[in-house]
Amino acid sequence: MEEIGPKVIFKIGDFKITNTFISLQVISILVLIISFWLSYRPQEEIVSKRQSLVEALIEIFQRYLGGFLGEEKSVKYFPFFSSLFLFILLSNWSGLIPGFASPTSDLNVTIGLALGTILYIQYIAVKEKGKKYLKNFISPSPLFLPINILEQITRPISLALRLFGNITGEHIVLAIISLLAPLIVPIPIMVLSMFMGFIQALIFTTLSAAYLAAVFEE
Amino acid sequence: MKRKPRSPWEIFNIAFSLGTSVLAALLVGIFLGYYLDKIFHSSPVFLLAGIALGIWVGFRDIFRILR
Repeated sequence: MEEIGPKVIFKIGDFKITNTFISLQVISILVLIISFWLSYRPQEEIVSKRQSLVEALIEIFQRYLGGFLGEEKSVKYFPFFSSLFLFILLSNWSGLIPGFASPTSDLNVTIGLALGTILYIQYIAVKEKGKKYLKNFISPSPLFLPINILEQITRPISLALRLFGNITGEHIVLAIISLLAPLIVPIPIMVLSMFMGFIQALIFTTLSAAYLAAVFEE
Repeated sequence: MKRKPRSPWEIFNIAFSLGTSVLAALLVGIFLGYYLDKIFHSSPVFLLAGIALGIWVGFRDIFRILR
């Protein structure tokens, strides 16, 4: 049986190039291409099918984000959350293509994503609220400082572990079922895996939006 | 402030994420407590404190997301 997890394909000096690293690059380029394909000059009238599809998708996602952030903020931070969602979704689904390894099944990728997201949220919090934000760390009393700091440390870890655990778990289940019954049986599991990939991407984005919303509400 | 009712998707997502929130907080608490115990040779004081703090932080995080 094949081993599960990132495999080193070749080395450049001390730098190991794994299969997840290669697929990460491919997916990054794919996200760029899709974004360029989706982008268009805004027009009052809907002139093409593509435009109507894109506008519908954007509106659904914006409304969803608006549930957490409110209408104004959801429009402002829409590009960040939509690209995060698109990237994680494609990463999760890419594991189903034969010969391709899902980048999110590598803990390094999920930790990087989670750290980047949380740091960005902290940056927005400091930028928008200034010194007031730092007061949150000692509210309701200075005794809560270690708990508030621990909470901030916990957030990226829980985001990273959740995404990594779920995607790796799916791959293990799929690998075992394909080993036991290689014909037809894995197909429903693959469908389930696609659904779970979508849910995981949505959860990551939802929680990031909820963390950002918590900053504005405090 | 009265909030809009949550959509089923939102509830589904939050429910899916609750378990790992507590787990991650607990893990951080345990590791922190374990290493502090190693440094100060005070086993199991910091470990127990870390576990308690981890559980507290985990549930507080859930409460904040749900609010």
